[in-house]
Amino acid sequence: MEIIKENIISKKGGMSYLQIVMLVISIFAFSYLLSSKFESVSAQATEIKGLACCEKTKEGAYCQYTFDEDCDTEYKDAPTECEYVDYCKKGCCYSTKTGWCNKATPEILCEDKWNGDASCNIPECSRGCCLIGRNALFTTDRNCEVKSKFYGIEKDFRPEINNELECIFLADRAEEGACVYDGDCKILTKESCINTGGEFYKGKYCSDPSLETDCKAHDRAGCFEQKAYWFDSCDNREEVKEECSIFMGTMCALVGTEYKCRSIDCEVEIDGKKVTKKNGESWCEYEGTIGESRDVPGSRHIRHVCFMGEERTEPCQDYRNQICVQSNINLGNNTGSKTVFTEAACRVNNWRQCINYNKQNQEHMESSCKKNPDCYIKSVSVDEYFSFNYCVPNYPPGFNLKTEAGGKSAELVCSQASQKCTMIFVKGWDTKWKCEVNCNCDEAGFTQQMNELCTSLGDCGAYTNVVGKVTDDGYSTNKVGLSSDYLKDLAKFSRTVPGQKAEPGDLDDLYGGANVLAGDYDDNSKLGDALGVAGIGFGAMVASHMIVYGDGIIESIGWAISTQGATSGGSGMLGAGGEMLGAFGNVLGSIGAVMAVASLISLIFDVDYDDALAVSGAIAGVGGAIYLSKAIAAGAELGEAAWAYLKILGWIGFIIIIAYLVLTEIIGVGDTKEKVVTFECKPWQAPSGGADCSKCGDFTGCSEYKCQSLGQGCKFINKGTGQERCIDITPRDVTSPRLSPFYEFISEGFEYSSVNENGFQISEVGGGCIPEFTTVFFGVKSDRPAQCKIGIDPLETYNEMPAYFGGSNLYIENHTSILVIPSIEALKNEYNLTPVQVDKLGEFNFYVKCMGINGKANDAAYVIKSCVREGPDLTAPMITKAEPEKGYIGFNATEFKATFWTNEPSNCKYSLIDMKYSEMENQMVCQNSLNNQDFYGFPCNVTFDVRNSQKFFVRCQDLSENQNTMTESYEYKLSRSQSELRIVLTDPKNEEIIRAASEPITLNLEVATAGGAEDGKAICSYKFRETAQYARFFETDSNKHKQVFSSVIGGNYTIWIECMDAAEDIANTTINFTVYVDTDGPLVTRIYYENGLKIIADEDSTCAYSFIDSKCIFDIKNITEKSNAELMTGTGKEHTGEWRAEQTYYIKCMDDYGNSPGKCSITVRPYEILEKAGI
Amino acid sequence: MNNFIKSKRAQLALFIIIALLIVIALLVLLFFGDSIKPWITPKASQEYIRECTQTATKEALQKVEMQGGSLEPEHYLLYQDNKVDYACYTEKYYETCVMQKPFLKQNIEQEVASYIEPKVKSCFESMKEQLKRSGSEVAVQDIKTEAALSPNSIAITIRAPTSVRKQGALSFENMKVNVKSEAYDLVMLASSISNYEARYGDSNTVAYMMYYPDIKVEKIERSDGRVYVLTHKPSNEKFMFAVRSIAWPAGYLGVEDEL
Repeated sequence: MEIIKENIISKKGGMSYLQIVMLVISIFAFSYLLSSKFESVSAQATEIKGLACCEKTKEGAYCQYTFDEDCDTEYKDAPTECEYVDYCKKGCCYSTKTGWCNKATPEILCEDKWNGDASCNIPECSRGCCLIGRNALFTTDRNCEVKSKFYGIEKDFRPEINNELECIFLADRAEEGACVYDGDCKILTKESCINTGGEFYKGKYCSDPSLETDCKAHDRAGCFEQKAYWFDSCDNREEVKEECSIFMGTMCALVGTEYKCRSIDCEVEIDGKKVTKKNGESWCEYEGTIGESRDVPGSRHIRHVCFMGEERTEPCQDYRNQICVQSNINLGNNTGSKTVFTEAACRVNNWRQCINYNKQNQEHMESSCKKNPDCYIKSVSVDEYFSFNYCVPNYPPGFNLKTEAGGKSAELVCSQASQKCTMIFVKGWDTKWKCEVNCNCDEAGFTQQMNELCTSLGDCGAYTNVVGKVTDDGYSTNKVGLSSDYLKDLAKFSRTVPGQKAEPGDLDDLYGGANVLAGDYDDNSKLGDALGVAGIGFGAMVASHMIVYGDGIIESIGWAISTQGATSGGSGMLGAGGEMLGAFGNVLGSIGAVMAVASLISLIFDVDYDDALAVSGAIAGVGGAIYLSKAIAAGAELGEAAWAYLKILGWIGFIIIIAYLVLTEIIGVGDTKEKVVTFECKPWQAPSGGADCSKCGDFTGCSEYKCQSLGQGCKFINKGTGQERCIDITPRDVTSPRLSPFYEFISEGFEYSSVNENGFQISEVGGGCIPEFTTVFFGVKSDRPAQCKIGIDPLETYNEMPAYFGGSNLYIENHTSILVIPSIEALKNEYNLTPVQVDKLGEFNFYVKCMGINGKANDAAYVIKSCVREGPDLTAPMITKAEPEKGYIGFNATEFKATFWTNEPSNCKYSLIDMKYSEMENQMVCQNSLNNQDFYGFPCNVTFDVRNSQKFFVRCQDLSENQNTMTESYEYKLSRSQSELRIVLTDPKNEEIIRAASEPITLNLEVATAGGAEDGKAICSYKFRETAQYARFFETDSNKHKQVFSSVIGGNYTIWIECMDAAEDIANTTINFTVYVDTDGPLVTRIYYENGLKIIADEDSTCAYSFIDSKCIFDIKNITEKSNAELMTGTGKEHTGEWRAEQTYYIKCMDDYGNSPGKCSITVRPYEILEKAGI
Repeated sequence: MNNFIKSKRAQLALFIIIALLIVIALLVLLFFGDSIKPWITPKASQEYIRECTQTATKEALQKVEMQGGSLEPEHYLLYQDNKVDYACYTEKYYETCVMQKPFLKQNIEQEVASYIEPKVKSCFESMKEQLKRSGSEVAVQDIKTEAALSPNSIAITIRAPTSVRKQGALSFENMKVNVKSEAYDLVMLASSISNYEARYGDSNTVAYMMYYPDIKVEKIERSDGRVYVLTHKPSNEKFMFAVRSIAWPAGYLGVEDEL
């Protein structure tokens, strides 16, 4: 084609160019628009917080497993736990320069030799006694060498001494004297003086005139090794000024301006009395009453120690994570009278295990609970069908309500004591309703007992703080509240009880019994003796301890939260992707009561339930069954079933109590009716305002926890400085909180409408009413931390209002809740409403009031309006959840229990073949009362017969007039194990002997499983005593299981191992093994001549000899020409050396573990033997 | 006499005499100043450096010992207005800590050396100036300092090849300055406690004090870890460090909050 040049540059050409440019720009613009949309999605996705092992965090910490955004970008990170990352794996860092060993050190921080054993159970780190002059040091061989060189003396290392106490007593008090050198004079040992090149004068002081030094005698007095001495002007010690002795109860100290002996005992005050405590004694101080769950919020346990005449205080960890335990030892004296020596220690409060025990069946729970000294069994006995035992902490924990996570945690724990008691009324011949079951539940005793259970779990319920201020917003009930006398009486627990103490208890059987002394250690284990004295044995205990908690508590709660987050059913979850969990977490933390609108009917319409209530046929048909099941449920058994129930709802226990907006809840079932009495247990709240903040300083150390407990307006300031204080931040604040809609928190498809300063309406987007049985998340925001309540009467004062917003009594800014409105038809059927009442249905008003930390509450209520869509129910029910979602059947199992939830009251059936609902032959037991609705909907329970089938088809039909039925079945598949679960491998093996060169050793217990529900995947546990509780392997939940024990000493061991898979099939085994520790060097048992000098040792070894080195200082591993030593030939036990009859042989042998004596194994003088033999 | 002084002639004479004396003094200084002995001698200059180094070392030790072994703590716990470095740390609950300072002694030696080096250099500069003013020729090469903790003292080695020429010569390559300090024992004990924490998650302070009666061991529990304060009782020298090992949350947290 011919190109016409004139056209290239012309008006037409210009237009073309412009079009091309616009096209190109449009492409990019379009792409940009598209990408920005994707970006917003991917940005949302990347907002999910990942976890990673950071080589270094932004804060400067090395090798931490934390959020990946906290990693310093100039260093490496990996999306896994640090123990799986080479550069951050913990190991032993050994310094060849100093001989020091550092445990738990990542390789990247180790500038010298690194070994994978994090406990440093390696020969180089094996410690012995190093004698340096008149001092003794318990250290490594290399460190002894370094130290000895520094002091200019020969190394004297005793590896056979393997405990510090024995080493210290071995210190040889070498005689000292004046060492004069270079015109100077120092008091040294003879050896040190010679090495310095000075002249040694035994028994003389530097101030001795005959030495003609510049040192003047008796220049000053001072203390040295607990005695009072004179010192000369050259700072050398002279003779004793005053003889003090620790054994006689005195030590040298500066008393006034003079150094003299003073008593090492302490004059202290305990419970208001002056007492003398001996040196070394320790005792506990408590802030309030302790034990049997009486510890008060804000209190702390404190340990006191008398040491060398000084009293010291060591507060245990706050929030009562540690408790102070004390034992009294009776000592007899010469006069026959008894003295008591007290010993105290801060140790971990094992309260979490108490909660965990309730997961077991009743028998196991009680047995485990009794064994744990930090737990006890709390009995609740209100009525015949409302009695149960619960394992609770002896020393309940404290909570930190000022953080979101802490508040959630507190609600979680406290909600366990939220219960409902169902009273059953039966109509008598006189048509009067008479209580037949649980009649005591609406008495004061019920509330009191429940409050006691509530306060026993932690800082929950109505209780007092450390200064005796009682608050009662930690509980709520729809019946009889706690009386003012009862509340006043609670203040007594803020006072200490003279003589009270926490017992140490026997923890041996906890944590799998995995302490060092579990093994039947042999005589060879001197370390075992020493450790027995010192009472050490944490290694495995700590790991197991973590596991028990890591699994037992943390996991179950995590599971509860995660399963909550996974609710399906189009309920309009907020956020996207991983945010869902977080958002849900926020919701769940404050979810409180589902707004059971149904229950409000009684209030709104003031229905008199003493009239006979006709109930719809479906419910009446199963009236008898309901009566029975209610009776059982009313007994509130807290066994497995109840725990399973609570596990699902966990800390949302108050969801069970959906009725606390209702004054009366009576639903009639044929000739019976029920009244539900509820008790809600919530976190204990500090008194409003800050009048008592300054009292924090009256205690032994003010802390954040104590400060928070003194008032809502108390704040702990200047943390970490020398000016820490607890102050009132609300002294002049008289305003109440202002409320607004929580715009960021509303279910998709719904909106806040008609918003003004007095309230808002919740409606569908576009303005419609809420569809029936639809869960809607919503919330209100306060302009400052506030506690909010909700009710239906705008004239009620804050204190009169019946329920907390969202079920949470925390002082927070964002308050969330859930709204679920049944259909008008269901309400009509449930409560037998008249047409006039039905007409009024559809619009609901709720009134919210909030109180700030200054104690000021709103006078005018904030109004929340809503309405439910009218019209007939045309929608079939939906199955919202199945539990368990994934069913595994054991190899020999014959039946399987499951629960299904529907979004509206329904009846459900199932069959082995997919067919119509009406043709299905098997009925499920469904709870269809509106009061039975829980978080997932309306539950239906079933027990499948799984002998011949593992697949079931489920369909449901609702209770509306239209009887809408599912047209498609819900397919429920179960998996049966193909074989039994087996333990196929253990390491160590049964009857194995493990040999080691030093102790303690690090033992890796490994187990492999196969078969079962998931091809060997199981959770395995171990124990060292038959009576102990099982502790979970640290790495488990797969087909390989591993547990590291870092403090194993020589001895015989038995380990019981139990594994359980998802189908609850169990496999177990027992292994016996021996740990043999060889710490002694070889002994020479025979010497003779046979073509040279021959020696025989008692074990395989390497031997060398020297004719010069009489102390055998030579290193067998590094014999060179310059070593003045020769290696003997022969490995094993026999060794040969050249024959030199006239010489003296200094022989040293080392075994295969590197053990050799600190000196010669034997000294041989052939000429003496020949002389004796007359040769 | 008074009349004599009051007379103008006498005053004039007095002034002239004073002026003459001043001029003579100046001339003497100008022509014979070199022969006047300087107030600072080469030997005295060494003593000057020694004292200067000792002061700087004590300052450095004081700072480093109150901050867990660092001059500029990066990762620390605030206690009593001190930024106390973590010797062993974990962010997680329920787990033992990861050693952050396996070579605590070497760390401290490096920190002390880096602190005193500029001060020693400044001392050398000052010494040079004074010697030059006194007419000496001074040559100082590159200055390097090293610190080494040892029992009862800290030894500072100053590598500063120096030569001074004036009426004889003085030269030295290195200087060694010893400062009395119990840092070695305190650091060794700190390492031992950190190792115990790394393994067991806690320690027994009374047991340590029984083995080392001259050292007071205090353990202060805080919400973000615990602070150990080691005090050498006779000298009152202190070493502070922080540890966070097997920390327990208040209540218990969900999986996502376990960190």
